[in-house]
Amino acid sequence: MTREIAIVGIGETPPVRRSGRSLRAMVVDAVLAALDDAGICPKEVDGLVTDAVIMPTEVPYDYLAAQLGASNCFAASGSMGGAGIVCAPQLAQHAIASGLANVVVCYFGVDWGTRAGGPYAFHDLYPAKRAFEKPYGFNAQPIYFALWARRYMHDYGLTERQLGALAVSHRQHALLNGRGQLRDSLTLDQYLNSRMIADPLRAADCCLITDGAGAFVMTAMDRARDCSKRPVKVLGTGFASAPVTGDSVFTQGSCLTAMPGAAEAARRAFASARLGPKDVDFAEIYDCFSISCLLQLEDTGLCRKGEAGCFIQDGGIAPGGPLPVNTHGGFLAYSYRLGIEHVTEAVRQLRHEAGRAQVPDAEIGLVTGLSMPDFGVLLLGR
Amino acid sequence: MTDEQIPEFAPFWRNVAARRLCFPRCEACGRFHWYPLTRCPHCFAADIEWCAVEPRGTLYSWTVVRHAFAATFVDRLPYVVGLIEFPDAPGIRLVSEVRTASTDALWVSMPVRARFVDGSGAGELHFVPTTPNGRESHEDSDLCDSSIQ
Repeated sequence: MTREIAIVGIGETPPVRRSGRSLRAMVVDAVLAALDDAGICPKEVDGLVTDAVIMPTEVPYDYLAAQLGASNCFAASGSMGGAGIVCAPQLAQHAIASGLANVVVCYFGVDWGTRAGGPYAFHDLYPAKRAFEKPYGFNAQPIYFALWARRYMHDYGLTERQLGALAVSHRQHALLNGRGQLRDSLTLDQYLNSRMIADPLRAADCCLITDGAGAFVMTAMDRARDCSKRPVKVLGTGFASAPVTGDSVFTQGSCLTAMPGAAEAARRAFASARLGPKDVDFAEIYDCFSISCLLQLEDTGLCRKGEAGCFIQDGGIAPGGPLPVNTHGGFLAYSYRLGIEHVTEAVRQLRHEAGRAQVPDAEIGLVTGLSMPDFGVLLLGR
Repeated sequence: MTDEQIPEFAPFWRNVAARRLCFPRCEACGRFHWYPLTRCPHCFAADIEWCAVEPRGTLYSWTVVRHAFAATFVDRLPYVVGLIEFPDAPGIRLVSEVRTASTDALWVSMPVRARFVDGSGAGELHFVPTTPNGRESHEDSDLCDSSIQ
């Protein structure tokens, strides 16, 4: 049982390293901005969807419902961070189709710029990481993905210049957007001369650290037509996960050169939308690191395995390229809010409201969300 | 529950203290898994034994860490984290430190061997490159060389 739904409103707080504000206040701002964008009264909200790990304790449903004056609220959670956000429309679609809700808001935010330990402390929730990895200084996401990048370089011949081209492309998009955290240009030479964090990954290969929140509003297509802005259709969703714990997914997979769940989630999303990779005009890919963005381009079928490095070096994902990727600058240059900003940017592109970063004639966009070992893919259409 | 109290974790470091490298292996199907679980993830049997393996392996991948993400590692930069595979324990990989004076000379599939030293926790075990003929590339022959017990 499904029913066509659309995203009808988006909102976000300005991305900054340190906001000086509480996470709850930022989330409320983003949700109210999204409802205002949709032209929907907050009291009309009767559904809240978010991730299952970070938000339920930081910004609980009841807190938000009280702020909105929302009664009889359906509430649901999926995965953690990225995959949960990107698959929120899947939960919303079922809730709306079965009559459990009419106006569903997805919300998410982080205060990792302010919070002690930031994203590194977050991984303390995994006991085997604490017991077997942290004692060796294997204690941060850039170090995990450095192992992946090194192995991929060995297996597929990826070069530092190709990784650099990805970072440069993201920065070019961020400058066109103009509202992101990074506003200085980046050349390939500057990249190659910058310091290593954990080789082969440099600072520009790593996501930003951000304080900020975002939200988007979903409703059935017939209700969507009465909203303020052009509705953006949910064409397809796909969720997949690998049978491996969050402790071991970074080191114990059968290979560390493909993202767990990504191929299956993409297959499911494309099947539900009756579309294929060639139909996609632009993509917002979960770029926690340059290497993870590159792998997802391949695993979702946008590039063939082993070919993403050359595609990127040839300008394939840059502004004006055949497949612009992370048109706001992504986590590398715009903000790192675990993917809510990827959904809002895709909506902006499909409304043709992306200004200088607009992808000409954008009709179909793909968004990915990663929360290893979970993966989500969302297909949106104009 | 602290990590020391997670019962399925404790044998690893206890064996390291005894200068043995051991991993959990299912007594029913004979397959290894890592990190420790209460049931075999391959056949769901509950009988898991800790099996000693020859403490020599190869680098699946590695990185030279040049930024400290915790204050305790500031003085150790740069340091090498390796992901090591063992012929005796197929299907699993161990995160450990690889100590070498020449970080530029590391390569995928490079042979490495365990060094057990006096210390506690990670201070008791790290790895060093082995030359292709199996001899150590470092002058550490005075340190204990492990063997299967």
